[in-house]
Amino acid sequence: MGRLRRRFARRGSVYVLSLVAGSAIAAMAVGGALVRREMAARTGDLDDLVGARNAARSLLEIAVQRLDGRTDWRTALGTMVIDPAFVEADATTVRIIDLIDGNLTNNSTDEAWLVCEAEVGAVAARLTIRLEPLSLDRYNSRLDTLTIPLVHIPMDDSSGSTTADALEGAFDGFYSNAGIAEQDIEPDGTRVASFDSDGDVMRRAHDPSLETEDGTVIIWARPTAMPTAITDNVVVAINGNGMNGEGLIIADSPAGLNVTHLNNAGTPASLLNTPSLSPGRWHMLAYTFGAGGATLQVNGVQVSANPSYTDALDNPTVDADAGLQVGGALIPFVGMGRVYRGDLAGFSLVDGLTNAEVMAVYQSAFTGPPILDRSSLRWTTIDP
Amino acid sequence: MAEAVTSVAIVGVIVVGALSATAGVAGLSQSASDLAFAEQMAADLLAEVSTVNTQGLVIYDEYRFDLVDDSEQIYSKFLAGTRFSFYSISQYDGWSNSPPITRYGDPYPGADATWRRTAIIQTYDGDTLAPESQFTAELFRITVIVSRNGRDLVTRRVVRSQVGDTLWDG
Repeated sequence: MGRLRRRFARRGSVYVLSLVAGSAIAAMAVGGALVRREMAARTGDLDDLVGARNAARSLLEIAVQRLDGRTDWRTALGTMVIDPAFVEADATTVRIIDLIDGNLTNNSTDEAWLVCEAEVGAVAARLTIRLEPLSLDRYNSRLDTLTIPLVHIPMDDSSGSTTADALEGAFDGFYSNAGIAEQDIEPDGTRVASFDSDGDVMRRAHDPSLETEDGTVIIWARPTAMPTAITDNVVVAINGNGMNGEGLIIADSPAGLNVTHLNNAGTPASLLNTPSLSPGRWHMLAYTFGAGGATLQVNGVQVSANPSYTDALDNPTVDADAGLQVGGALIPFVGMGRVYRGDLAGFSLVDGLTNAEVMAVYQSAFTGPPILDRSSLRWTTIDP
Repeated sequence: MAEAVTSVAIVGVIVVGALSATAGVAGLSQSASDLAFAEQMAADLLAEVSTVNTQGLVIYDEYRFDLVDDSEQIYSKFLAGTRFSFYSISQYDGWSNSPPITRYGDPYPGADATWRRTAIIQTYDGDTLAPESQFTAELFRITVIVSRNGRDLVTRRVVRSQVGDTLWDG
């Protein structure tokens, strides 16, 4: 009886052992399968991610190729259809979006973004680049066809030199601080003079080309910061020493954009206030003066006017140190200093323009194919 | 006796099962490692081709600048038949070598003769996406295939455009 009990006990042990072993094998098999599935899933996700990014990049290449040379891109290419199969994606989307107001066709100066999205498997990738409509180079090259400048200084010296006379070829003058040799390169390739320190000022001695009864002064300005004092941001001054004779100072101040037009006695004859310039953005300032009165336009739109101010700019006190000054006023007047911080480009003095003509000049910088702002290129991985 | 035989058999089954499972996972790890390495080599060649101009001149090549004063070294690189002398994307069409080498003729680190990299360039019209002669094409589809022991592990494609020549430089 006892032998029989021990026999059954041994068999029981074997059964338990077999059960444990079977469970262990099953656990290993299940575990291995799970590991395989997880690794396969990760490999698949990585495969999809790389595929989606390559497809998005391909879409961008195709899109910029189609945009090239298209002056009608805002109206004709808002949505672009590109066969997903060509870029090996499950789905593709190519859009040009106006981030300002969502409307590509109501304002040619709004910035726009090219957005390329590709979906592969469970992954989608987005590649975006800013389409910069502004071209200072186009403005500089077209100005002569729109009006005849008395003085036109593109301030676009492409020598790449950092010596003190780097800008002299374009400016036909000199400047007082070697720091101005710093230049920023715009998306369209235009080089613009960068003013970043006290004393940076480009000067040109007075000459008869700066004298006119009726004229419009135009300059493009992109300040780096909001002005903090009246002494900040003197953008341009013509015979602005304020001693005697007619002169002009355009400055950005905390109270707004100021135009101080000096009469024959050298006293302020006009002062026009507008909102200050927005840091980091280009503005085309145009001040028209003469018998028809004074008007100030920013980006082609009149922001201030006074028809009773009719002073000209043809009876200056000739001062070799204070002819044309860009980026500051070497000889301060009514508390204005010499400091301007930001970029300046495309100075012009032309015969007096109407508001419509100023707008046409402004638009000349925006008429043409978009320019790719390479610095804005961004990748995003998104959930499809 | 019967219990001992049964136990040995069970232990044997366990060992075989464990080894099989371990080998499976190890094999999978090796396969994943190969895939990752293939992906890396594909990305490397794809990036290289993408920085070459579609029409002619090399856009940006720091290595060339480094060697600009060493004409003898440059000459030797040209003679070696490497991709160093390639100045347009079309020249990569059909390029295939094993073991893979860098653009400058050096062995690709970690890649032996079991590995191969191949590049294929196809050319298309920018608007219609129809095949086009390389001389008039606006789009260039770059295909890079990385294989090991004759088996293709990774195939990657990206499209480059003529306009893109100015997009990716410097």
